Amino acid sequence: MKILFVIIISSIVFLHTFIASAQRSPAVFIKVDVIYASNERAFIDKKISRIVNDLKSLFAYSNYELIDIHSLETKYHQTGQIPLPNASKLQIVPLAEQAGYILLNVLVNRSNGYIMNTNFRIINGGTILVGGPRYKKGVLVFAITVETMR
Amino acid sequence: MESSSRCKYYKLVGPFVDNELSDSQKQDMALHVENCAECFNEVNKAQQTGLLIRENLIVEPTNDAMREIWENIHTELTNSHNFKTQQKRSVLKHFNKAKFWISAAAALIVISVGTLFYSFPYKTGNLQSNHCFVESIDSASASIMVFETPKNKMTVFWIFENESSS
Repeated sequence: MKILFVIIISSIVFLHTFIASAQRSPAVFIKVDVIYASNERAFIDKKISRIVNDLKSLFAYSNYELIDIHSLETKYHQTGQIPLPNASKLQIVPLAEQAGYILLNVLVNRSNGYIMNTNFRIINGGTILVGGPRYKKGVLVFAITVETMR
Repeated sequence: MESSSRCKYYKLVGPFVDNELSDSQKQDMALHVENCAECFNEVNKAQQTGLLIRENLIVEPTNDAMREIWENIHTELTNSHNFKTQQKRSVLKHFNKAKFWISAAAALIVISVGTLFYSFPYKTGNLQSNHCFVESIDSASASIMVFETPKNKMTVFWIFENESSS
């Protein structure tokens, strides 16, 4: 019985230490899929078929290509910057976590100023889409997935 | 050699005196003893020996001896009672101890599970969900519309750039 008690106590101490360390430095993982949508040809990249199936119900593009994937690890109030193919920048700042939702600020910057600045709350592990910036003969679509381990 | 000269009833003297013979044997033996001097003497001797033994063995105990006996009985009974009480106390003590450890373990398990759920609330939710709440949105040089995809309920921010801004 004493051994069992010692094991339980040790597990709890380990658990609390793990939680405490996680709370001290919460990492936020951001993944951005950069998609090129156009009508140049009829093609759908299989890697993004789930997103494209959703997009096709809203927009009439026939070509969806995954042209880049960015993964970055950041912290709350720390800016994550992603260079975009059309000389723009995507800035993502995780602001807070509230009841399983992550508050994010997303800024799409052009050289002459920002074209979108938004704050939204997304469920941990959820994905949002930002689309519309012109690129070549079509537009860019960004699939932003955010996840934190606490 | 001695046994061959002796009366054939001689062997029955002992059982006769000790009343171990059957009724018919007793009757035979009684008739024989009246006519056989040897057996009559043996029976007398055996009866006298038996009397002597009984007289010497059946001794009335003295008061001191009785007191000692009762004291011993009392001590034995008291010890037995104390032992049983001690056993009961020991069992209760062990039970209480076990109860304490079980309660402590249960409380710790509840606390740790609670801590886990408190620290990882989203783990209980649906991670595949894309719930999103837009709090603010603005643009310096474009129009923005917000949609929700019908299948996966993904929020879509669509930027309609002006010709001049691109």
